[in-house]
Amino acid sequence: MNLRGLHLENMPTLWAPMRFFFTAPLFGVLGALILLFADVEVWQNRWSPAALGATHAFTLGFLTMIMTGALFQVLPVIIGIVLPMQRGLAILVHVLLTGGTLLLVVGLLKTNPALIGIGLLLLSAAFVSFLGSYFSCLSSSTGTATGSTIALAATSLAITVLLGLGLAALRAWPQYGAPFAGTTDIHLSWGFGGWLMLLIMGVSFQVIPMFHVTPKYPRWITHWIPATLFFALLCGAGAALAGHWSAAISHAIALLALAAYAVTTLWLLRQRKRKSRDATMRFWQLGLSTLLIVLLLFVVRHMAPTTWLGSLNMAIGVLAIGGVAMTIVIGMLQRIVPFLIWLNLLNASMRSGERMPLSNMHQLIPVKRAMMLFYLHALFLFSLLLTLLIPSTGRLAALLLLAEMIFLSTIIGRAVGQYAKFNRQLTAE
Amino acid sequence: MGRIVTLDVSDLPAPEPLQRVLDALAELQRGDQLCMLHRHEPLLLYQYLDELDFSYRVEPKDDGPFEIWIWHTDRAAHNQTRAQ
Repeated sequence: MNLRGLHLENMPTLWAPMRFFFTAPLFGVLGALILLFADVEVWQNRWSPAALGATHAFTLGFLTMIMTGALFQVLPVIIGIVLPMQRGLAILVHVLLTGGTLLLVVGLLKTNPALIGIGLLLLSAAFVSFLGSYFSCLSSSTGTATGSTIALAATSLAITVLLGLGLAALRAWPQYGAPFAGTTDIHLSWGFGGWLMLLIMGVSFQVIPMFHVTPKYPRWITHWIPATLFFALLCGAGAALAGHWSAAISHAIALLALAAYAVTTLWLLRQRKRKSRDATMRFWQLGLSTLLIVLLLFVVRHMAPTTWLGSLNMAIGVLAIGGVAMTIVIGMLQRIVPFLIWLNLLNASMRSGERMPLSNMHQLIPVKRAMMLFYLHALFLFSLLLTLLIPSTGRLAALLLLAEMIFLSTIIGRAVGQYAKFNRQLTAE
Repeated sequence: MGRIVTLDVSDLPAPEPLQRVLDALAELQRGDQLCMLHRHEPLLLYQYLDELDFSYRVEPKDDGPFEIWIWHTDRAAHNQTRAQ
């Protein structure tokens, strides 16, 4: 890390990431409502309009929304990249991502080419402006494991978006042809294994030891696992498109890399020095354990009869999004939101010359509330497993998710309300 | 010769180390030195030290925590050094 060049005025305002964090649970609500009102096919056919709409509400509207917002803070604070005109850029990317995702989700639900087209246009503009700014500043990044892992994650996002654009365009205008066989799987593997998991990895290399007082990650994990995963995805995609047998070997390497990361992180969390009740740590443990189950399902898929493939693909997709990515990201929010508010209040107190008004981060998100959110999420995950076995119980999972997303909104809203109160005190004094 | 105040934050999760050291610096007298012990280099701290006019020196240890020595910047000496 190189923070010696970082000055307080370069730090983004709280609203740069927070506007993304506020919007994300609303897309979670939208996704839950789609699942609630869809018929049972949504749990059986990943190509159904409702399944496609809900999937993109969660992956773009919830997960990518939060991760992009977090990057606006992580880039300057952790890896020393100050994006040009970051305040204006955060507003632009947020508006384009929100509008584009909304139109894409509705367009996929209604199979409406015009809405899908405009949605894709806005999303392309969002990602071009964000990734373009990021890549143009890459030379100022420090050579840390987190910095290089985030660069791989951003490259994976660009690949995922390009593949997604092609797939969505063919969905909107099928008269121009059908996608190559397996392109959807490649889009999914870059989206999940590349963008989501690489970004989670890069951030975790910093936040796990920092927030949970664990030993540092072993050097072979931070230096080799992200690159191994990225190149395994790259070789796997190339081999799969060419129909070459080596695709299976690349997939196996990617699975092993993810398993090594999950097991190491779980082991580090067991070594933590402070054993106090901590919701974020529980979210990490649940998400990483589910990741190991998802990896096992991938192995089963390679050996299973073809009649199982539909159910296994659905189980892998549902657990990867709802059980791994959403679990870890919601858990991290419970730490990142109070931390950012704390940091902004500290800066405000430095500017005003007054004493820091916040004595403890738990004042912003009380442990009890964060633990309640965790239990609600665990219940939702259990209902997801039940739905995979008995699809007709899917409405229970949708209802639990709806409740969780509303609760998450109130938790973030309350924390920001506290910030506004303390900030008023500082500026009034 | 001033006092040496030792502050061990090596077992505290973020952001407690930063909070503790800023609280301790508010009490630090001119001529005193604060010796902060941390499990890693507290990079976020440095911008605050610059802002608050403190000087610091970091002593990494192979087998133990980082030692960060912090003291009030002597403005006159600092300006003299810059002039030279």
